Amino acid sequence: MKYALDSGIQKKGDKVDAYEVQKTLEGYHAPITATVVKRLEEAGAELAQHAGYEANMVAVEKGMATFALNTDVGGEVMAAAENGLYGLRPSYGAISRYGMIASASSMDAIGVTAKTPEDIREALMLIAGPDGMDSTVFDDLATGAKSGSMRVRELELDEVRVKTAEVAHMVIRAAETASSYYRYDGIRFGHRAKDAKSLKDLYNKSRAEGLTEDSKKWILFGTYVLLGENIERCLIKAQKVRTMIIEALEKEMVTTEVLSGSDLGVIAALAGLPVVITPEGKQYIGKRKSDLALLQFVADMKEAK
Amino acid sequence: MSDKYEMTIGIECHVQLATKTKLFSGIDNDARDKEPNACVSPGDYAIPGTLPVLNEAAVGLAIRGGLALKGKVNLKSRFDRKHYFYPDLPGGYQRTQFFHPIIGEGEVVLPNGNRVGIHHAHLEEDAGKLTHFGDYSLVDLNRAGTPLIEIVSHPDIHSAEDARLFAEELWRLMTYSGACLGDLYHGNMRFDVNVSVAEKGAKELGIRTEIKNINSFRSIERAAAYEFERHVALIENGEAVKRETRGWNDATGKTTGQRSKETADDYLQFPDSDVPPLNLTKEYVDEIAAKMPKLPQDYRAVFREAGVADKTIETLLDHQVLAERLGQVLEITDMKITIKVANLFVGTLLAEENSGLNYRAASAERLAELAKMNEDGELSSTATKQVLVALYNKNNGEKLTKALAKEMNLLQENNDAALGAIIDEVLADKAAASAIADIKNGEQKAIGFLIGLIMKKSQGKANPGRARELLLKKIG
Repeated sequence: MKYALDSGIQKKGDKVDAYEVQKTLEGYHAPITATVVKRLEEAGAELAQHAGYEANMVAVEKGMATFALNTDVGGEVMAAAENGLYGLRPSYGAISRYGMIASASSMDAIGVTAKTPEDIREALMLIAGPDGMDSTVFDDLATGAKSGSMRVRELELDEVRVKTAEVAHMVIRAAETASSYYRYDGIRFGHRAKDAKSLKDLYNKSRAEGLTEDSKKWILFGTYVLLGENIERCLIKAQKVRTMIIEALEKEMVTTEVLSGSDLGVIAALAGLPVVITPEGKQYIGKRKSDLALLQFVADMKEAK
Repeated sequence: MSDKYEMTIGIECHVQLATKTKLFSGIDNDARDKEPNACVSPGDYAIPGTLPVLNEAAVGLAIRGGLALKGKVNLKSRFDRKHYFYPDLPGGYQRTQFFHPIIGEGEVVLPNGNRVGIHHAHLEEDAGKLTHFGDYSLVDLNRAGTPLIEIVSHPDIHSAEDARLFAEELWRLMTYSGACLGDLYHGNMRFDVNVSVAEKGAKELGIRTEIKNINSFRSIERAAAYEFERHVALIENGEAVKRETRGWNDATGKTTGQRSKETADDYLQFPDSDVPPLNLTKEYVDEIAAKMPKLPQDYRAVFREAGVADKTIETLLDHQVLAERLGQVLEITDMKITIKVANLFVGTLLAEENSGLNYRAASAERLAELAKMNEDGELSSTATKQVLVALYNKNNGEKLTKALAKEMNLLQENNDAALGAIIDEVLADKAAASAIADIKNGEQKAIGFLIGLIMKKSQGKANPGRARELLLKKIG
């Protein structure tokens, strides 16, 4: 079995160039191997390519790899449909993040794309499960209803709700990304500015030169939402929205196991719930930890057609 | 002048927890004799993609430390990220419990009865160490990630002496509870002393300065006293006290300004989602509480009641093993014997020439026997000290004290017949003749001379009190 791997997921010795932090990691070779890679290596899977997520999806589409593992912070895996593939953004804590370049730690996940839900399921069986290196991983992926008894209902979201979720996601993502990127300081690894006059100058120049414009925007925004009283107005409010979303979804799923709809990527990321997209662009959210059942549900839908 | 003013002190203390490994990585926590950067995991180095995994042992020790402070153990606590750029902080943020600390309100009672409230104590990781050379600095991350609890007191302290007493008591509480090894030389406990001065009776506190990173008790007292005088002088001169961080220089006996704190730093604290919230069960905490040893205040109360002198008690309390032993002695004997053992500990065992002895070696039974033998006149005070030290020799572990004293040939001669024979010998000596005459003429001094001869002849074993009685009887 072959797989394609996101460049933001490390394999010891390989170059790392997660797109957000590209320059600051110039010349940097991974000193560690991600848990998912280790598990795939142990299972005898072969690394087809270690590249960006678009290239990886193409590799799956062309049959060069059975599945691709890509970093996902807000439903990026939903792009699978554009390539005619299935995609899963797993429950938060289903797959170890160890070795994945962090941005928004509470929403970072490793997404899986493949031609069939069965292939995703097979990948998940290999890579999911408790890891001594990541304490947020849970150990009971098998829970959740069996697909036979799964009911599905359309989740109706008006534009205001979608936008509110997006803003909350953006605020939390910014705060956490700004925090995660503190380590790109040029002191221990990666790009270090020449001719710095002082320690402060070294930090300023190394980061100004090393981080991409996109990263800087996240850092500025993230610092803003954390600074002084802003934390109350921005981050804490965003976290309240997040809690409301989690509670609302729990309520929605009292009488149903699966919710279908559109624009579910961000909502799933905020709530830590698994979400699957089909090649036709249909999106399904399941209960937390019900990833395998959700994949089975999607596979059954495919059969039924 | 100073009488007009009162000082108010609050103390923050960083306590290094005695775990084998770091707070969030499985790397050796003790780097005392190691090369720089020898104890550093990828996570301690903040390699991208690494994640923290909480060391449960640190949680247990934090709870022990918290219980020693009579602190409330919060069943729910959480870790936050505290951000700043400095090369000793590899990830750019310190994992600490800013919003929800593991230990809530507590209290420390000083030996003089003054009470100091504890605001809270939280778990956090230590930073690394920077060494500066001419135009460059080197970073050592061995200490980065070492588990600490930071204990924050209320501003309840009002004298430099109490500041020292509080620090000393904290040291005892942390070492007794096993939370910390208490090696001050290696920075196991580091104190930040916040001092402010205001006129007595004033409603508001003065501007405070923070003296950072003091690691000796005496320096705490000196630094606080110095700050008090400095603040008073400024106030008397109509100058403003600047809100700042200051450093203590032990050699000059002065504090010097380091960093102005006019504007509060913003560390952008927010929850670290990489570490799941810490949820403890009451059973878990109760189990730890049930295994807590006796604390200094417990021993202090008991020893005071037994009549041991306060100064002796405080010296003893710096040695948990000895305090425990004396407690056992008290349980099997009486107050008189206990006081004797306490004095032997402080006067002899803790004397410099006996440093390096294993204080666990002698059991309470042997110590009680020793004090009793001294009490009963079987051992002179000099011999008692010699036998005491011998009890701590590992070769003597199994011996009864009397057998050991006999083996050392130190038992006093209490047998009247034997003692009488020695006295007769001394009196028969020509050297004694004039002394005997003197005594008969009422010159008491001469008695001492003869006792000296008797002691010499008996090789120090004669009981001087009994010898005196017999001597006087013989001379008539």
